Amino acid sequence: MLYFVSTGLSLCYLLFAFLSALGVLQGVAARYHLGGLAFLDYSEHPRRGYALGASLGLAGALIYFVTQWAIILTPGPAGAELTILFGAAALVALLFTLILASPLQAKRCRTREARLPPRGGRVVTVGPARGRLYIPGDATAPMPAVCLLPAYTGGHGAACPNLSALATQLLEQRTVVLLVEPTTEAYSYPEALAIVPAATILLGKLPEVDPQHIVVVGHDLGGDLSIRSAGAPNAGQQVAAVVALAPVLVQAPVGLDLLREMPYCRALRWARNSRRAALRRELTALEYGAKIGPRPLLLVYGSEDRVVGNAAVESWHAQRVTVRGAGHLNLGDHPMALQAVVQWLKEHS
Amino acid sequence: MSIDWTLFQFFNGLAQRSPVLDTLIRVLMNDYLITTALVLFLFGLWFSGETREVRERNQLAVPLAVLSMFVGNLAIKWMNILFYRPRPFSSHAVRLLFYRPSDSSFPSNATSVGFSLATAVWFFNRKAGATMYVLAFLLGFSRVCGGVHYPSDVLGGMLVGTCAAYIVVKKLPFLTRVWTAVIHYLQRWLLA
Repeated sequence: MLYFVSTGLSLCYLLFAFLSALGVLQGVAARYHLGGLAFLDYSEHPRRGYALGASLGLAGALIYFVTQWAIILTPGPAGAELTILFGAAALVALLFTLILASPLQAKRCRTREARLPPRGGRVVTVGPARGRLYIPGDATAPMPAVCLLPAYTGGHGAACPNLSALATQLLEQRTVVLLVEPTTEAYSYPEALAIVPAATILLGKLPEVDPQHIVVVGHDLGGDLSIRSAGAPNAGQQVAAVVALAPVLVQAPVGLDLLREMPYCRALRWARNSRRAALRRELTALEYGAKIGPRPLLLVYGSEDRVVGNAAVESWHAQRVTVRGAGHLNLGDHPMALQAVVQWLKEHS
Repeated sequence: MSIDWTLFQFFNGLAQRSPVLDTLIRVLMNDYLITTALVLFLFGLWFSGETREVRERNQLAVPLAVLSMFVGNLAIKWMNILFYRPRPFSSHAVRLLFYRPSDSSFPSNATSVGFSLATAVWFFNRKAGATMYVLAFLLGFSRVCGGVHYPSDVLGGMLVGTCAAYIVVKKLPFLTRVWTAVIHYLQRWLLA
């Protein structure tokens, strides 16, 4: 039988538990880089998360103990009632956090995107996909070219990172860049297999491009696609080298880890996107990686990436780079990753 | 019994000496602060862990700890039917810092709750379990200081809570399998 003794006490306890649970969520968001639970950007300043968490907990405790002190030392709600009150408060705190953190994280992502606008270029068709072709203005001699296959966004708008930052850097290094748009239509199987061959043909015909130095760079499923295309026996022979940024290869079990990368609603769509799962399964990039050699292959992973599974790629003729502090989706515009890729391309293209 | 009474007198003697110490004891012994802190620990544990494997272990600890608490509570209800021990203030002059609970003094229910939660967590995460043990001990100890339990009541609560958690975690492996399946299901909804 539930009595809840005093309405005031119960409501105050509810507020105390709610604020404390909010505080705990901010603390764990900061400690474990769960951006999907974070009210602020704790990636570089986790202490902000700890401070906010502690403040919320302290505020809840102060409100409760200061206002209810006299009643606290009298018979109060039973254990079962407290359990119900705490459970309700924790549930509401979790929902509140997920709802509030989603737009805040999306806003932080948009801010990052806004720093990387692709400028200029002309729209071209590459097989089933559309792309944007960038040629350095002062082209005199044939230059190396790079086809960029960004992460698959699942048809839910652009993910935070794409490869625009890399495109900008490569253009500055006097490289022709073809940036493919990762639409759902383009990233469908088997249509997607036509993208890289069409891109190499297009780039190879350009007078500004040295056809012996065409490289494919892919991120996420774009990485799987670049490996598959370059490793296929009758395709991609014109590809001089391959760079795969966090190729998925093996689907890791989904879970809270996705909240490290994106807001809850987007993460839920990402995890439950059947097209995405089917594309990874059909591309079977894990089988093709070993066939790319002797052409150079660079695999770049983020140390904080929990999205990609552990794939056995030791037998591959590949160079591996792990970027400290980078996750899965932000790997494409992480300064250290860009530096590693640009440097490697200088040596291998 | 005499050792119990001597220890009770010693710890209860700390009460009503200084308003600051009395307030501290009241803050620790009330029904809300430490119990809520322990449950908040469990709440945070659900989201904690650098790797998926560590987090799954932590998440397994949460429902099993809650279940241990209920098992401990049931055991105490059952013990109270068989045996009733009056509170220290019923038959002695004590320095009371709390209200006068009417239920049996032995074993301490609050201590049992704390130790059942801490022990269940200890089996999965030593660091978190140790911290919870400290909180649970403070809860029991402060209740002796506040005059509502004998030390043996707290000891009894520790034993009941620890045994309840041991039985739930170690002797009922099907519960672990059930909760593992639940956690895997919740992972699909990104809630675990």
